[in-house]
Amino acid sequence: MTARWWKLIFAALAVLALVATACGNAGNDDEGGAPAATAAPAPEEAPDDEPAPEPEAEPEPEEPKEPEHRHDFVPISGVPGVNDDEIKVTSIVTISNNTLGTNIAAYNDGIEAYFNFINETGGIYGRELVLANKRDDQLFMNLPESLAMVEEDDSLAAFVATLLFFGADTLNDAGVPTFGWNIHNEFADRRNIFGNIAPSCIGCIHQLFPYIATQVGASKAGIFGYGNSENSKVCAEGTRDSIEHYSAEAGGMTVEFFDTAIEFGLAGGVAPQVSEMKDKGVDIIYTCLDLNGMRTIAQELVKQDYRDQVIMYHPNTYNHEFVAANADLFEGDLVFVQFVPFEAEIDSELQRRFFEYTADLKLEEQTIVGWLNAHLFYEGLLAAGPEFDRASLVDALRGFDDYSHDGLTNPIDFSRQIALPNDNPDADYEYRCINAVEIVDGAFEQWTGEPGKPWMCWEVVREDWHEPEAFSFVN
Amino acid sequence: MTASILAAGVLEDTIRAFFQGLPIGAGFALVAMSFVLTYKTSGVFNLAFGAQAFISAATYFELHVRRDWPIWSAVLMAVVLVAPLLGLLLERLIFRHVHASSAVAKLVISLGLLVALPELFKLIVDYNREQPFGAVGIIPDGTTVYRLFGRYPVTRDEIAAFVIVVAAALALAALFRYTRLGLRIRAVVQSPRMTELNGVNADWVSSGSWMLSSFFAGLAGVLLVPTTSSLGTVLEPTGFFPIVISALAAAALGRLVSLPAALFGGLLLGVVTTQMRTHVPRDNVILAELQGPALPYVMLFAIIVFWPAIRRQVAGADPLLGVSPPPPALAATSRGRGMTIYTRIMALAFFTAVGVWTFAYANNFWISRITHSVIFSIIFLSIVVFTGLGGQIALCQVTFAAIGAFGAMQFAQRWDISVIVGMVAGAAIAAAVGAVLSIPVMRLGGIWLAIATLAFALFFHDVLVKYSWVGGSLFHGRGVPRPEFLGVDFSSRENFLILCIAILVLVGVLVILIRESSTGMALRALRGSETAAESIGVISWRSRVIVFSVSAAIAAIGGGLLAMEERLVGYEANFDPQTGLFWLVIVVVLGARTVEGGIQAGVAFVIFPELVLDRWLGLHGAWRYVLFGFAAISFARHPEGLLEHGKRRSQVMMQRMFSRRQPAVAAAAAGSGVDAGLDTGAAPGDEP
Repeated sequence: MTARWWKLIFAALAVLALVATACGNAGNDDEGGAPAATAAPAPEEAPDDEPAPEPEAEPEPEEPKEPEHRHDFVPISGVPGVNDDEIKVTSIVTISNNTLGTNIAAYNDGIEAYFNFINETGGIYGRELVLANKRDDQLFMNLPESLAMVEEDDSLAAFVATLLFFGADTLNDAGVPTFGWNIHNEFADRRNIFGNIAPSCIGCIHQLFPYIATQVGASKAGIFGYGNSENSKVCAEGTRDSIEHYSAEAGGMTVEFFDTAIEFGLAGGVAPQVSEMKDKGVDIIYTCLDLNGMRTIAQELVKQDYRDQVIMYHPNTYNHEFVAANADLFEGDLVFVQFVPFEAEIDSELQRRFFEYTADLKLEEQTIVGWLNAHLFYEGLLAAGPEFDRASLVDALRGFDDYSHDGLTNPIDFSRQIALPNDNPDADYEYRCINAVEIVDGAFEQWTGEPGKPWMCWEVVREDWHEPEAFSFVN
Repeated sequence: MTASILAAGVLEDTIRAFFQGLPIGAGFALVAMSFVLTYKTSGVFNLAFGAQAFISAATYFELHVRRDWPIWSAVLMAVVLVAPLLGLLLERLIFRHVHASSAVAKLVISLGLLVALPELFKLIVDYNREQPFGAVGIIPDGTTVYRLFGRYPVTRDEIAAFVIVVAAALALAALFRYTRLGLRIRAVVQSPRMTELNGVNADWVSSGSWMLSSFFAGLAGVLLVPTTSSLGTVLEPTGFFPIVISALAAAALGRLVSLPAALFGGLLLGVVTTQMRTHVPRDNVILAELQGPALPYVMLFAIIVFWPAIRRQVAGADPLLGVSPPPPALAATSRGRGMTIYTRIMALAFFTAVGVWTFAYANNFWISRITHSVIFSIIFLSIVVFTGLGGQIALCQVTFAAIGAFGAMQFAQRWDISVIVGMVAGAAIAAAVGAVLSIPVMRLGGIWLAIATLAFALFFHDVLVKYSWVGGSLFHGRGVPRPEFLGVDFSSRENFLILCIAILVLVGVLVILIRESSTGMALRALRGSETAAESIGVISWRSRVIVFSVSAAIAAIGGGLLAMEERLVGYEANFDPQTGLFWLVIVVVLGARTVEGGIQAGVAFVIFPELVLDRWLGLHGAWRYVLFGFAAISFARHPEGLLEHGKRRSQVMMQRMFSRRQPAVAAAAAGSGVDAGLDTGAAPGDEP
């Protein structure tokens, strides 16, 4: 226990709420793609009101075509972390004192797995990609770690997965291309920082919430958010506003219970709240809580013999070990995921390579986030050309205007999605998309979309109630 | 008819909430009773309780979940063996030697243990990545549900916890009331020597008391895990803190000495919580806060300030108990002129060398670290004022620092006003808050003042920070610019460091002026005996308000500067209440009575882990908590701080060396009180 225990609580609150609120993704087109793809934007698969065409019969995976200049070697000097043999990067990850309940250190595993993949296929520009320094954030020490990384000046780029991100300005101002697990507002408004998802609209109206209810036959909502955290409250309020906004279209759905006063840790339990929900006939529960909070509510539902009559929507529970250990508590619940879940196979070379190169690892959400970040870094290098430096790498990345990590994420337009969309609607996704999985017997099963098209998307510009479309963002 | 139906519904809700509250209250009661047991059997207000509970719970988890030990054997090891053994070690190695120390000294030691023990445990067993998904309790099939009166659900875990709590309360009450052992325990707490005259082995009784109380801490640890959400997924010490704070309110009901009152208080707290959540509307901001995060802190603060039993306890304490001998003179005041000149030359040379290196050779990283250490020195001077001069322990200096940081941020972001103005405004706000806070708590003193200020800090942390008018908007971040001031641009690291040094000098001079002023003398008189001080015309309330306000303002200035240095308010990293506990520990360990001590604490806080632990020794940063946490043990013996103590020792050595050559001069020096000061300073029981 450090003298930081209280920060632990606060951090977990902030993180879970941010994860919870990183709601939509949207987009219709794809680019980027597998390591073999070129960095140039791929032809767009323009979405329209028509459902996307059914995927054709599963083609044999083709050997990816490499960009012509991938193996061009050009001597470079004066670029931090780059010599004739290696391109070195640094990671800053919350390894010790992690209070989130998920293994954030798996982020490093994802990066290294991707680098192994690239290096085994010849590296890039005659060099190998190396995760040379693994700095431990130790919970909130990422500011001095960032400063030390900048001063040591021996890495081309930084990879960041931390509970909070105080070092953002340090890295950004130093011009360090920075890739990271975007659960922070600090990923917005900083040109040199790139997340696995774009800065997202926190607390915005979203058809997702009432839509889910219509799909599971629910009409009375209960909503929880932590009272200690503004993030969690904003997230809960956004859910409530969404349901009330589309109440009529969602069959007269109502918010019967709304509580953003519960304390993190739930030392006082949630028995009265569950009793009230039961009295009011709540049949679907939305939360902006962490794993602990979800488990506590589920336990109380079981205790009050109410579990079978209500479905819970989880924002942060995509954790296989946790769900397996609590299978009885979460049966039939829905879980939100920011990327194509491991359970949904798509025709993505990047996904296939991910499974291939992480076969020996225990897969966590952070594993694939590290993998996706590393992939974006590699693609940026390809686009920057063999005489790259930090600035040209960032310029190249900011030129990616339709980038979906080969279909694994909602496409991002890095040229304009820099600010938080709350203040800048122009910086929002084109489509608001989700992936969701259902918990069945302690495991996950894909719930949204259809085979080959796991994404369920709504057009952001359309405020009217409309049915979502199933998408695949694979090239 | 409608009214009667409504009344029946309300009655039903009330009964249901009552039964829902009992299991929660049982958890509070168990922790509260453990607090009381420790205090009753050792005289220690043991804030390290959460650390002890964590160690047992983590041991149980490690053995049962990860190594597949059967429940009974894991419980045996974690609760029956490890917990009492820990208690025995704490008593034998630490608390036995501070028996005669003040309650405040013991509180500081327990704070040090709170910081150090879990870190040490985690370093030893490499505990960081544990994920006890499923949070298995010690009761087989603990989630099995039964229905009281056929209606009210309760789990086997909850029934077990309730039965254990009630049984423990009865057994302990019987122990203290009806057995010779209980009588001996109480006697040993009050006077071990007197007890030994009656043929009782006070050492073993004391050890047994600690083993017993530690056993209860361990029992609480393993019982709370399955029923407390925050312990479920990540079994960390943090998870115990909310429930420990809530339980403090219950323990306070019985003035920390009544087991039945702690039991009743815990159950009452649980029932009140569920009744409020059942009957109080949630759509009102204030009422909603009172149902959730604010409730335990408001109750704790209210009980401490307004509960008649505590007020009587404070007012009715033996007046001689508070009469402390005056603290020994500072080493610097009793050294010879030659030594003073030599010291100042050395200091000048040292700071000149550091300055030249910093501004000529250091990279941005080290300039930033040095700036941090200067800023923390400023913040720690607020502890020098409150604890070193005022002789009291406040656990909310970190909150005042946060107010300064948020003040700078708010003025800069909302109104585009200079951050320097914002920092000063933040200091003024902090001073006002400190003054207001001082009024209800000024008569408390000792551990009650510490707990009340901790409750305030936690209230700020859990309730106020999230509001945009305090902590800023979620959507606009917490960015803080560096200032332009008097036509100088302080945006560069070097210029900003110079500004911080200048402010440190100003604040240091201010602290010295206060120490030498009539207020400083009044504070010295008050820490000896408030009654006596008032009898000679000292206006105690005025001095208390001044010391609260000034220390708050100093902390806020430091907080504002820290925000400017980092260009954001890193609240979670810098200003959470538990960080504040470590601040206090490191300052009192190194020396809370002097400006020099505060500065050395600032340097040690920032530079020591980076330079010594990391770069020289290659150790994990967590070792700083272990080292300084355990160093807090020295507080009882050297309340003047280790550095001041070392200074005296070296001074004496120098004097003795000098006396061999010039006996007359040495005799004169001895006559001036140097040695007397040393002896007094080393006397146990002296408050800071």
